[in-house]
Amino acid sequence: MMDKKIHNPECGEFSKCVKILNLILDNEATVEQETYVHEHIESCMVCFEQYELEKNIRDLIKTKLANMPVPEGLANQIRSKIQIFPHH
Amino acid sequence: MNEAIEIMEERPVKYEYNRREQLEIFEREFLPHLDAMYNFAYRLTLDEDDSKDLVQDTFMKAYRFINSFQKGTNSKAWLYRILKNSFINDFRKKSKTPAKVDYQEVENFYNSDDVDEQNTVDLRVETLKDMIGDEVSNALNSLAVDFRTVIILCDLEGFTYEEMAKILDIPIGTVRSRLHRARNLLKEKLREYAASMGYRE
Repeated sequence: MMDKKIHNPECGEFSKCVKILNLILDNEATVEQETYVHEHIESCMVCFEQYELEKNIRDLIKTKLANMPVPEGLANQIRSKIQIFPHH
Repeated sequence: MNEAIEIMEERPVKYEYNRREQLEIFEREFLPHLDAMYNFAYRLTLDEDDSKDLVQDTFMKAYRFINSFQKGTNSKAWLYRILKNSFINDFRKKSKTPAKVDYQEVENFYNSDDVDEQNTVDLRVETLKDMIGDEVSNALNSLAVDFRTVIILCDLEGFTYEEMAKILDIPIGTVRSRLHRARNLLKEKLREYAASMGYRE
């Protein structure tokens, strides 16, 4: 089941670390938080692996999702509607 | 609901642009986001015709309310906010997107302080590397639209939590908890895909 909760037996700071590493990957962490995680994952394998996993999922989203081409003429259709819209 | 108020955010400032300025803002600050907007619309509606309509509506609304847009500010976030509101008001009602999730329940849980329990999903980096775009988009598209949206805004479009809070009209804490939940759901989906494709170790 997806909601199984795990206190990772290999790392007492796992939850704290995961929370912060997500902030880091979202560019929302403070300098102190970044230092904490980077120092921690140098010596903690489970947290390092979690960091890699989270990072790779973000990369997957960024690189593998295909972009839909904008339908031809859409920009001009929008422009012509704007042109006839009264000044306001 | 009054559309103008809904779009203008908390400060109902009015700028007085003349016709030429309006067209210039539209051309230089709004239209360059057409590609991103169309793709955002597609990822919400999962339908090409709906996306086209949604994008046209969004740009028309943006033009109609252009006097409440401050030239040179974050036009992308402003446009995304209008698009997301149009989607909720005009499209969601008639679309076949998955049923709404009960956020209250989800968010009460994740906002509470027992979040030091983490969901861990048995998913390996090597498995992810073999995945192709279709599998990734299927996994993403299978999430309820609100969860999908936060992942798109954050990972694909790179909006900050603060921008996301404005676009979605929710507090930052809710952005964080919704993202957390969305990422866990996505991981679970990716793991299911991996298992069904026989990718696992």
